[in-house]
Amino acid sequence: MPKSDAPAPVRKIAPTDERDRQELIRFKSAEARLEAIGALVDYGMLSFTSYSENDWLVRTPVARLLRKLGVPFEWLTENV
Amino acid sequence: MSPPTPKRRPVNLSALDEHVAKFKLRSGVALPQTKNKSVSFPRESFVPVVQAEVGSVLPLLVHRYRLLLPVAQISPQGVRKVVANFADLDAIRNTLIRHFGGVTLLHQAPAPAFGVGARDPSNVMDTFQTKP
Repeated sequence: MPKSDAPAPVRKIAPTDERDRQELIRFKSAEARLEAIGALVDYGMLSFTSYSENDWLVRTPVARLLRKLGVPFEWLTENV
Repeated sequence: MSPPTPKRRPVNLSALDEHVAKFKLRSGVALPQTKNKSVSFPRESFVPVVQAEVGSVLPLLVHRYRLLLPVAQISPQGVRKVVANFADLDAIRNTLIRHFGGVTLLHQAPAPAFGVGARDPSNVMDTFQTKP
């Protein structure tokens, strides 16, 4: 059987999958913030800095976890 | 985290308001060169006087404080009583942002501090909330 010249499929990796840096995320409501706090406490990952009520500075794994858990937020530095 | 007990006293930070009643301009401004002696600035231009001018061209003495917020009390019998819920955490966080301009939260589990509840420092042995 002839060997195919087609390139091997490349697994698509999101830019945020492997990085670990400071990220800026924004919540649209107090309820979303409370949901995020509860989720992060459960996972022992509640660690962030804030300068305004709805904006958090977090490490990338924290933002990834919140997205995985379905917590609603806006990832402002996702594609930066 | 367990749900809060019904009789839990909610966090009340209103007593701190008197310490942030005075405001200052967030940053220096150039006054307009007009004959008008009065100037006005929007409310957002002011911050509490207790807030450090981080980023100022002048050197500043800045203190960093670490606050320990207990979130649960666990008796020797293993009964867990919530003393601060997520809404309390959020309220305290928002207050620190409003008063000092920012805050960093770090949840440490297991807790680095252990105790047997609040007690009278002048009579510790007789005022344990829970008997050790």
